[in-house]
Amino acid sequence: MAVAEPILANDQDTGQSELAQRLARTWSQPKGLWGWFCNTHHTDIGIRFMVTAFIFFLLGGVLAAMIRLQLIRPENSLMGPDLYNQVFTMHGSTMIFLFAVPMMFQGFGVYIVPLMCGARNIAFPRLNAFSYYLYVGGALVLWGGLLTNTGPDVGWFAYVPLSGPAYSPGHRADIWSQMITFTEVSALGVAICLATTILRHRAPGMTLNRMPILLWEKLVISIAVIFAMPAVMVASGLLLLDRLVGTHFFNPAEGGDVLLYQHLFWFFGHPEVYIIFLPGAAIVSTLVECFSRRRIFGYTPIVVSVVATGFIGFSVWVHHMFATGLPQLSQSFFTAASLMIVIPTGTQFFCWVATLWYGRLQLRLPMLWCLGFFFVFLIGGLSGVMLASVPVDLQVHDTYFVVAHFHYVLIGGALFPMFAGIYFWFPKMTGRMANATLGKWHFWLFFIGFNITFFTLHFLGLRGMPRRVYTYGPDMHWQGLNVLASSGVIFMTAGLLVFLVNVFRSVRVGGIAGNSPWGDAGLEWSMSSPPPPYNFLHVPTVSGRDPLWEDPPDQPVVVGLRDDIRETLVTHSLDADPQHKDEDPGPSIWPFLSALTVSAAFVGSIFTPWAVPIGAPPVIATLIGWLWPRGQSPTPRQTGESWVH
Amino acid sequence: MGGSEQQIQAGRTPLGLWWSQIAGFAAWAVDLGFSYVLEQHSCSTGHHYVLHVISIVCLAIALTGFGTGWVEFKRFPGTTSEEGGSHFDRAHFQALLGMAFSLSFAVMVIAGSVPRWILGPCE
Repeated sequence: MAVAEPILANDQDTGQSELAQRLARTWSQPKGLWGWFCNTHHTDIGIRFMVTAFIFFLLGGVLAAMIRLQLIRPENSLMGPDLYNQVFTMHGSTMIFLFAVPMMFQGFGVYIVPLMCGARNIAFPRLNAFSYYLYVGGALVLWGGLLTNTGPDVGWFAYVPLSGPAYSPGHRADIWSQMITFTEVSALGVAICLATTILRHRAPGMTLNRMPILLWEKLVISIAVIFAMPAVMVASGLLLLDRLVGTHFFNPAEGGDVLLYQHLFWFFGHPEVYIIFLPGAAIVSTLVECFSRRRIFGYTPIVVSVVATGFIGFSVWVHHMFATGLPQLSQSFFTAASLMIVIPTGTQFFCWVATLWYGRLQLRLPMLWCLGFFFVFLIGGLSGVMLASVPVDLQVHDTYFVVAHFHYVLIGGALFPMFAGIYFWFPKMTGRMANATLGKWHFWLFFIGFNITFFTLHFLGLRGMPRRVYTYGPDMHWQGLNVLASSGVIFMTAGLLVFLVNVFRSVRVGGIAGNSPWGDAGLEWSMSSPPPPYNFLHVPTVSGRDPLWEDPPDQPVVVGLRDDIRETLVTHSLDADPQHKDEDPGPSIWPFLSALTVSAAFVGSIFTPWAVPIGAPPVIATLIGWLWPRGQSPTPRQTGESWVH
Repeated sequence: MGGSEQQIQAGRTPLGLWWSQIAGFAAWAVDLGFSYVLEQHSCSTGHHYVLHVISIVCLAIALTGFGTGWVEFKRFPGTTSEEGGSHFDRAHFQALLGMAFSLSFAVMVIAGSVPRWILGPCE
């Protein structure tokens, strides 16, 4: 069914009605520097996650440019092996732990999910704010290490025994381990907030079978995070114990097992790929529907695919360990699983293509990035199928072929959808449109530069160039391809500069966006841009999968929520029936203070195990302050009283 | 109205519907986990059939999920749809998901069992 324009009238006459003014007073956040640290509203925290993650993306990009510069000719002396080890470790760790997950899962999720659900704030807003500060703490620890010449130098997965006490004296590997703890606790906190928001704060009428695809994907990712992150925290925690306390979890001489580390790491590491990719897929599903001007083709198959991908993602980790000498039959189990995971991903692909095929495509700027995603991610997926085969995997193991593959998957699966999402929701976040011409320059420069760099790396890998070497001899004949690969960086850098100019310019002088500049169907477009502090004047109800396309003008709204306190509506997890009211805890300094004390304990434990008992009392004190009863509770609702009007 | 329908009306999910949604996942996880763990045992004792038995049992588990999903699906009135807003519409959708999950993971179990007929556990 093709749908032309949204038909739900906007009732968010911000600032006009008395109710809006009362709600704005109730839901406003404190001003000034103190207020900045007290803020717990999801739109502000979501944007902070995105901006911070993007800054670290740029820093990680600078490191990538340094790597390409170093490899541009044989026996280059720009960097020595020690600095090079730190640079490639910092590049990988920054891009994965400080950019990809915080941007794609936390940033977009925290900003968009409550708006799509029809909620006035995220569930557990203080935990959400705490997660942001903890993430910043981890990022500062990692980069502080590099700036003091103690940057981790053991690769982004810090394999033992290289990262163990025997081969990595000093504190470089400890800094990596604790950065993991910081960022993974942060991701866990946000996962709990998002899963609870999706399950318990959906607008009435948004039953399980009417949830937008983006909410399905965020729910699956949140659950994946809850199961995946503890594995890597255990791995990094045991590594820290081996290094700091003298345990022998990974020391074979004392009964430990180095492969245990790899199992724990990759039990997290492969789901991590989907934790990064699925948010990108969620953005693509949303944009393809919007710019095809028709409902998504194959809603149910996509939901099945998303859930199956999230689950199968936990069962393919051994394909990262094919070169460790596992029995052949064991390898075959994971080869089969790794090949089968292509089916749900392919199903999503076909549904997107079918939506485009049967719709009326509008090639606006965000859609251009989606098309770029199709091309780039498809190449990454195909080389992934090649790597799932044990003989091929063994041939190209630890070569630049693998580097090319995962950059196609991660940049294709995350970065292209990220830019699509930024351009798509930029009007909602800022109230202004991004410049389309500059956006197209950004796209083409980045797309061309990316393919010059990373397609070339396939051939370098097939010619045997190993990863993580700081130089090579002239007799290897790798220079030509390395020059070509490095030249792509110029285009990508230029593209990113154009993007930054576009953002800074558009925030100030971009065209006024209005409520719904793209005519999308999601609830987030039913309010003014940027959203008011209370999000929705009246908590909405929905009567279809695409509310702004399908709901009648007289669609009921939820009544009975007080406007003098921050009341929110809690609904049934399956049927989204209103169940009871809850009170949003509001702004507070305690999440920031708690993050400070927890950070102090984490940082101290890089140097001494005594930091744990010494650091615990301040953490407990701030948690008591955080959880101190507020002495106010929502009005109980009378039995039989109607929720909707 | 039967017990299952009453449960759905009350916003709950009947046992059969639950089973249809988790059977496929459980079957495949058990198949992969047990096969991986028991491979060494199978090699050292010569009991190669253990791996085949695991696959067959897990395939049966996944198919029971499809069966219970189908039974629940047939109970709903003809007016239920995939995207309606009633409790039955939601349950109809859950039944569809359950059948799809069960069948998909039955295929996964079959795909994982193919190498066992070709490769021995001691290779």
